Amino acid sequence: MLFNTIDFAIFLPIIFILYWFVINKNILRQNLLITISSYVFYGWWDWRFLSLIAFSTLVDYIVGNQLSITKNKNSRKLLLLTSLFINLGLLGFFKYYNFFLASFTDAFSFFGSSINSRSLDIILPVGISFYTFQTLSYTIDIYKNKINPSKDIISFAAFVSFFPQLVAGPIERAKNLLPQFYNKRTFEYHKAVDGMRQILWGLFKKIVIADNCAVFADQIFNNYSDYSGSTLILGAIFFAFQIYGDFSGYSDIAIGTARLFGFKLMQNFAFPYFSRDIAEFWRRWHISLSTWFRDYLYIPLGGSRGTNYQKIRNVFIIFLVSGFWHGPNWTFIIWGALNALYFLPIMLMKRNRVNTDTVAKDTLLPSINELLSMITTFFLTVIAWVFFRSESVNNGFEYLLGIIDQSVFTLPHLITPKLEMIYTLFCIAILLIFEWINREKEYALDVNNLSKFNRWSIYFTIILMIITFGVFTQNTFIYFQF
Amino acid sequence: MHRFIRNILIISSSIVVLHLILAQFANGSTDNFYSRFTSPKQNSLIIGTSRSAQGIHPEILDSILNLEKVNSIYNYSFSLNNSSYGEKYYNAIQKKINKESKNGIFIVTIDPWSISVDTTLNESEIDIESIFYSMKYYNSSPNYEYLIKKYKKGWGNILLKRIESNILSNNKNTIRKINGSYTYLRKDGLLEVYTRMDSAYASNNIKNKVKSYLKLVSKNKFSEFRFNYLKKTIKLLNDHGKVYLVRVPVHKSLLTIEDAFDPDFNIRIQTLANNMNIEYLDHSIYSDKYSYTDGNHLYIEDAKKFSINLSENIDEIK
Repeated sequence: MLFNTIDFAIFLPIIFILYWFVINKNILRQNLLITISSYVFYGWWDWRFLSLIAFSTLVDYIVGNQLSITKNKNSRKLLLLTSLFINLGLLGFFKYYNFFLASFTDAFSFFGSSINSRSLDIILPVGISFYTFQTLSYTIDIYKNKINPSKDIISFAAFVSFFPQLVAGPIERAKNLLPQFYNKRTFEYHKAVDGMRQILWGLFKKIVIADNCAVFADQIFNNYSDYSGSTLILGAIFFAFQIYGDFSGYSDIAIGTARLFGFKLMQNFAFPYFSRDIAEFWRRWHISLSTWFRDYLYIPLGGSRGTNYQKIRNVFIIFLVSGFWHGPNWTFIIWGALNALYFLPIMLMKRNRVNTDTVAKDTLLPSINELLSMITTFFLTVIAWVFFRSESVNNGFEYLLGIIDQSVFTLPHLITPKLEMIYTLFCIAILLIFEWINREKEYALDVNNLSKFNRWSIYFTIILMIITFGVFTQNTFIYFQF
Repeated sequence: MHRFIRNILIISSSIVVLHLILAQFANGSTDNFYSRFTSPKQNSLIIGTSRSAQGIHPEILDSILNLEKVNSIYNYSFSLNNSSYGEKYYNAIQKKINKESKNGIFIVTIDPWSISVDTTLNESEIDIESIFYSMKYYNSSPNYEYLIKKYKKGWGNILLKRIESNILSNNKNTIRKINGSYTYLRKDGLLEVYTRMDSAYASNNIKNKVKSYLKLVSKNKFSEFRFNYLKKTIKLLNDHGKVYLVRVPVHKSLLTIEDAFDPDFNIRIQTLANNMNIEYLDHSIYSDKYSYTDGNHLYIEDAKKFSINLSENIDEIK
């Protein structure tokens, strides 16, 4: 079920009413309802893969509990490896089997010997990378004695399958989310309003920004050889806003929906396009995944400690794995490698934690230096997005070569219908204005401090913009494929 | 909780009321198809793809063929992806035609593409992307079913398009400059397309169209399924009046592709016309006489010329 569909618009109020009016007195029933509704939510897409979630839940529940009663180090290690093997095995099979097979076949062909291989027609279960990482963190944290295992299978099943964030995150840590299932939720007006606001803002980002930008980004990326350098830059910028609107929009809707049910999920995007360097960008973009890799991969590898060689190795590993997490395609790996290259110099110069506060704090406008840093960082990410969006690495390089051309100094070719392109640019400007004004808050439509009249004016303006400029083709979210 | 529910209800009902109001503004500026789902049942129709949607002016046929108002012809052509001959289009025609009609005129336009099918599709997959798919209502105004199921933008865009249309229809030359092209679906079903027609722009459009049709050549093949539905459509229309099979002219470069794609097309259609006792008017032989926006579609002024020629042709043999 997609957030931007009629199905979800019907599903959500039904669950909301049952949750708060029918079974609100009993925590077990609340958790049971969340689990059942999450399975319905997921099964709406393909019920066959519900067994994968159920299996994953059961394995990690049992492993977690066994870990808590097993004192022997080797047995504990074996339990952890069992969980890792099963979870990563399922992920590897569904997501990477054909990629590895094709890569091996290509490698053998390159050295002159051909091998017969049979790729499988595998459907990728939606959100498998997200819930796999969530359950992995649970088991690893128990193994490291950071948390206690859940003794309540219903709460645990609800934690694994919690529908707002099941298919595209935020990837929650058990430490934050699981205890919330142990306590009975009571309705709080300000939390519910906050949730609705964030849902509204998420819909604006997805339906207005992402889906409109997609029209132009697709047209330019699919016919890149026909366009001037300046148009190609415009296409890459459209994609940058498409992916931001799409993914952060999803996160906003997920966080807002969870809030409606009394849960607090972690912030997943913190205005990343206002970052002043690439390290700051990665502290603000897909925070739940970045911190996951930081805690479970980067730090165990040694992080930024050790020799320069070790530091460089660690940075490359984390960014390449991050790229590979997105999918079995070399374009994602190049995207990760480029980000590693951007990150390395500032890390080696120990300048990766210079910009940890909010840009232009307590002032209305940024300084010239801050503005230039933001623009530079934005364009570096835009270059990397070119590979993320391209069909192949070759296409990505050709796209970039198309930019390095004297036509880059001409005016971009406005794609037909031009008026719609102008409307889209106008909507992007609105997005940036809201984000800039509220950049110190958790999301841009957090307008709780305004007067009632101003708040309602803003709500209706955003609703009118969605109704007027929104695309209602039930476009799926980009991150579902990951 | 009550305050929250009350506020949600206020917002939700405001949104519903707003949509009911916005739907009233829907007209020919809404999109390229909407009005055809709101017009009443008709006695005479022009059937086919975008070539006839843009290329045959109903009012010219009405005037030259002296059609009475009750029998005035309605352009019920859509586009290749939507109205190639098949079950969905057949049902849509059935729902648009006045059952009492006996003396209507029906222009059934044909080309090799509208009786071909994508070879990668099974028969059950044909036309699932069509605009008629899952539609029940074809003659209601406003057509909420269409707006809910088929309109891809928020309904506020209906008003925006209407405002744009009102401003820009008076400045067609300006819109060509600032928007590249502008379309408006007239009440008689004709799709007006205003676009730049300078030679560089037009030849680039033709080049792109040739490219896309060459792709179609490798993907499509003649379809018995579609051809049978063409026969079925003609049979249906024959019960309500006189049917003419018409091939609309296209740019020479596209005609060459079509001839290579289906060399037997004309023979097949002529045989069909003979078997069904109707006339086949092949106007593709006059393709040099007209100019085209993209090779596939007649320029609006040339569409008028073509409509006059077609009407005179029909008038002669009537």
